[in-house]
Amino acid sequence: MLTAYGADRARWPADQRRRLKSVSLDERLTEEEAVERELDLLLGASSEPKAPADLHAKVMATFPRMPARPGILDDIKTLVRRMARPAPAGAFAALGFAGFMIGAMTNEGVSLPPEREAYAYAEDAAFEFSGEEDGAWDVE
Amino acid sequence: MEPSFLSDDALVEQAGQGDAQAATALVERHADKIFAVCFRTLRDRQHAEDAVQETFVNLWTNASQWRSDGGKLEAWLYRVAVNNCLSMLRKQRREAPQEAAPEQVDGRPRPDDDYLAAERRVLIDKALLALPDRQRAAIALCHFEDLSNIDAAAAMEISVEALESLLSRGRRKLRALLIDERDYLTGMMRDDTAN
Repeated sequence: MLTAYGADRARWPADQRRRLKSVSLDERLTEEEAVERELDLLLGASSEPKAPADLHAKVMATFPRMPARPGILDDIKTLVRRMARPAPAGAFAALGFAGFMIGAMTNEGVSLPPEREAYAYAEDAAFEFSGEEDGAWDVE
Repeated sequence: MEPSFLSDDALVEQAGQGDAQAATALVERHADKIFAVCFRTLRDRQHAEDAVQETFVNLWTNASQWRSDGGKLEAWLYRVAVNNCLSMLRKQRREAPQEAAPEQVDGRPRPDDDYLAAERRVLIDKALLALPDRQRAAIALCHFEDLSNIDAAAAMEISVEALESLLSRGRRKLRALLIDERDYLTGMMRDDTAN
């Protein structure tokens, strides 16, 4: 105990201190104790490490700055931003489809040039064989 | 709750989630003590600062998975700090074997010192410097930081018996180193006391 922990019994492990409380030191150990006491005194006179004033700031500079947890408003903004990204292509496609549908529905009202009108009439007309000899076709 | 009132475990948990206030509270609570051990082991202010920073970087890295498991944060910090110091000393030796031991003993008298006290401090610091690293670390933890033998042994990751052996050998070597100066040093101390 003396050689490891020095002469100050307050530094000894509590159990050893209790155990050796009543033990009286012989002459040799008394001398040893005096030497260890001197060494304790000398150690007490060594440099006191005083932490530098900026130590805490330097240590805190190593603390990783993590981004703050986003709130619900940030979550909504992110969602809207993500959804907005494919919107132009989708909008063009929707517009194209709408145009096609409108065109198809209003097709009947479109007027054709006269020659095309005639063809259209001929195509639409029902032809019937009249049965006459000249083989003429009656047009209804 | 004010971070300074929280337990170490609670602060580490919060620091692990990025809470800078909790981290500051931990630094204010422990950094100076860790610096003292690092300085006494390394005997160099700049290296001691580096070792403290490295120790806290280890803490930040492990903070999010921190489990106390009944152990104290302080004991963990001491263990990491001593490991860092011993690694630094080993690295210094590898890189510059001729400059094996750190040689920076601050012998400048402080404003509140007298010349004799400064001289005495230099002699004792030199003797401490001459100790093997692990013996010096053991003395720093037990003698200067007043850690119990169990905590000091845990910090050095050795058994209590091995710690006591380091302490005994360290003190024996110190006595041998200071024996020539013993009368002079103790005489100076008696003079100081008389004054």
